[in-house]
Amino acid sequence: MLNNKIILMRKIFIYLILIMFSYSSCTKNEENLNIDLNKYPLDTHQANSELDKWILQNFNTPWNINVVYRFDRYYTDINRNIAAIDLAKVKPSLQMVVDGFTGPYTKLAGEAFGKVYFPKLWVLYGSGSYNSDGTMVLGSMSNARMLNLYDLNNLDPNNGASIRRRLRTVHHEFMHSLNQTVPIPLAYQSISGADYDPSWAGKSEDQVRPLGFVSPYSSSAYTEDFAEMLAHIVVEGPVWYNNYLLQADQTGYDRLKAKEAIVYAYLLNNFNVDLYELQAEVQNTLKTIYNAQDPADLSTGFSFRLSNGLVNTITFDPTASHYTTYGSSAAFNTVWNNYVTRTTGLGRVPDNLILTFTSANTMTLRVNYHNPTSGAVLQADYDFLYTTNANTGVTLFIKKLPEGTTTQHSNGQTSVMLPGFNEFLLPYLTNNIFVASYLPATIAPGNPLYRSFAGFSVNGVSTNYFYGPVTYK
Amino acid sequence: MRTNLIYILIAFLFVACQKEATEYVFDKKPEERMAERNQELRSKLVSSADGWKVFIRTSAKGSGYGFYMKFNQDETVTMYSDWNNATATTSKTSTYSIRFIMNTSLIFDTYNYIGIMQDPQGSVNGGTQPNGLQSDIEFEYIRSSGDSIVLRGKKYQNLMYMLKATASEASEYNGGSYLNSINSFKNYFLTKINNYVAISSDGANYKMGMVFSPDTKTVSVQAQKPDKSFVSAVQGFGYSIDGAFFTNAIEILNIKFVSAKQKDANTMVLIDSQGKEYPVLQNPVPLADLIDLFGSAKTYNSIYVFGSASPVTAATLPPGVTSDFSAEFNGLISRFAGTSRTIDTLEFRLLNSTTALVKIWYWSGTTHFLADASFNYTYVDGTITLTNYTPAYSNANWTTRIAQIGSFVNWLQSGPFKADWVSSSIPGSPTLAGLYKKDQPNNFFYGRVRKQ
Repeated sequence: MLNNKIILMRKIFIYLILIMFSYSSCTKNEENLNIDLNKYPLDTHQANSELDKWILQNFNTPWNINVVYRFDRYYTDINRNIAAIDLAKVKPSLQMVVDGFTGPYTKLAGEAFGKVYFPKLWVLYGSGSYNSDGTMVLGSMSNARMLNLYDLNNLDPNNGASIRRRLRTVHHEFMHSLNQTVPIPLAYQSISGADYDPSWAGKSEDQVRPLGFVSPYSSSAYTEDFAEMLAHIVVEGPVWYNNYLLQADQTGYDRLKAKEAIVYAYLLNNFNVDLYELQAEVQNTLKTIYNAQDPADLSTGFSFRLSNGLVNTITFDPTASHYTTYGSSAAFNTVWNNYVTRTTGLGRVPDNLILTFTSANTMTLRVNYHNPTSGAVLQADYDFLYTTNANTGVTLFIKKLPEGTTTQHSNGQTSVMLPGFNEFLLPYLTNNIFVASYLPATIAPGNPLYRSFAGFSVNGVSTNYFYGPVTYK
Repeated sequence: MRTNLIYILIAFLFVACQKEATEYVFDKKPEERMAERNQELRSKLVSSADGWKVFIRTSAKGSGYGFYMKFNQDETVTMYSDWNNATATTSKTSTYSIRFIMNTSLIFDTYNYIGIMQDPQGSVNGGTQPNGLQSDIEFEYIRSSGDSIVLRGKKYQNLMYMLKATASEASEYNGGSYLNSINSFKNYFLTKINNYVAISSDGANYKMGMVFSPDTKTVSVQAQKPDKSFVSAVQGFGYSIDGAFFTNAIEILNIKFVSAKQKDANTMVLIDSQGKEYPVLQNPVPLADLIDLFGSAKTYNSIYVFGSASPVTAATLPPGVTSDFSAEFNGLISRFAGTSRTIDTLEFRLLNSTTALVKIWYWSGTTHFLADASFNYTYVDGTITLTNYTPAYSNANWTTRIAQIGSFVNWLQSGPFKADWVSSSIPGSPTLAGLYKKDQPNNFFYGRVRKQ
């Protein structure tokens, strides 16, 4: 009985095992699920064109940089419409990177720097990547590894400004890359602390300059600010940057200089790269290879000199030969001739005018005249106040009262001199809005006389102007 | 226990027997099928030594665009496009790739003419930033036959049709004939008006009118059913080397039109999905009944004749038409001329639902005068009945000039009139309409139509 029971139990045990194995045999065979990756269709391209060889030589081999120029939606914002880069723009874009980015950094920091720090994946697109507010992304940097450049179909290698704008993007994005490796010093974000505002798109430089930002975009976040500072100093160059500083008020100036110092120290201490040497290298590339033009140096502009009280005199002598050579304004000549006729009728003959800028906001108008009867040569002075916008040159003259008390001022108030002045010279100067500039425009940069003549034209009426030889303080 | 062990070993043997191959739901492993499908599209594309005629539709305006593409083994593609004159005559080479992204995909991965429509910049294609004309450069492979491939844009889901080009077509594209055929096609529809094809459907005959708009790259068709209701359709088209390909078939009255083919300067046919050709014909007058278009609140409300203002010339009845009214008209002109006045415009206008105006604009010296009179009217079944003649509607000139207007007043009151189209024997004549005397069908005032 017991034996039977044991045998039964054994049978049950065996069946159970068999059933268990039969279930296990239902599981799928793993071997058949193995994917043979040799047969997997990889997303590789034939890379045998001249362009591909050139990229291999200039990016893959020296830097282990992989350049993706063939459109791939998955390297960018997948939901946006972004154009592919034109084949003809690939090499100029990358040549710009070699000339203005990898070259200068390598020269200053050595090969090892680039092998470590250059982003290893560069992705190129033809159009910008547009945001919903109408602005567009020109570049992006991810994890110190992937650098995207956009809007390259509009790159023109023969246009320095076009290269400059895109090279600025490259340096901007690379600074993000470095920041993703070595964080931005904490002191940086406190400089403009509360003034960061993500909605930057509608702002102008004039709005952000007093807050100490180098561009509207840099006001969006301290990380962008840091990258913009470097990119503007290095790529826009010293002339542009100094102009920007010149236009800043004291707060803006101080903040910009404080930020500049931190950027300088950051690069030097962490990467042994001197910001100003980098600037010089990049500027050299821009000017020798891409013929980039710097903006006019504001500090040598006539309106800047005038508004800072650096101009001494401007002389209008109607008999001078330069009015024959370079022309004169019929509209102003009418005013002058009317003045001469009126004053001659009263017994005195005006000969010429001298505007003496006695300070940054005061000017004395001197009329040199003679008495035809006695032959005496005399002067009549009139005091004016003026304001000049350093950027636009827009200038306003206001009669300064009370009038001065010198003999020349008294001469101006005599019954023979005052009527002509009141009827013609005073309304001409005070009723018009002028633009101060180097005049005439026909004396262009390169002419030895350039900047030796200056004057004022009525704003918006370029045919109504007066000018003469200018002397500086 | 030993027997137990044996049983277990036997069980293992059975398990080992289960090691036979698994049945696939599809016939091969996924990676093999992916690679095969990629290869199928790739070899198809490069197999056509004479390239492909390619047509796409864009979502922004429904416009169609035509291309010619030659795919090469080295992943380059050379193309022409009907985008503009330059792209139709100058080829451009870029790269393409075939990648498996959920499905085998053809990607035009560097910029070429097909990228113009996809470009987000409105300055490039006239579309709206940041979506351009809402088109694609990535297309998934849907199906193919011996001489055609169908793909679909991955974002905007518009179909791309590829039709294998012949050797002669390829040489025409490469020889710069694409632009000529585009211009020839445009010219056909520029010089011929009231175009239609005759079709039969469900036992009824129709004249299906069509308008090709070269600016929007769309074609609209319309036909009037026996019950006077309209059926219509609008589709994009791209130019082909010998006509136009509709980027979606025009489905109307149970017929699917797929393309238009121009056989010579004056011969055009539409082709349906069965390959049947329908010659394009020109109706002497517009296909729609005038009564559907003419009324104070309809497409047209004015029939007018005109001269010119500088130098001043008298109004003339359009040529190519014979009407007894011309004697009445010439009398009117000459009576005004007899007093040194020149009529430069004569107009009949349905001012509102009850009032019709007759306006005579005339020059006296260098001054332009208007003389007008009004009528009450009814317009029923195409018949216009004028009553309540009221001279001098906006000023007194009608009364002052009544001697020169003379018998024209009687003519105006000799209705009722029937309004209908007027056909001219001059080819390419503008659309004309007229007021026919009910009792004298050869006596009708006519001119161009407009909305005033």
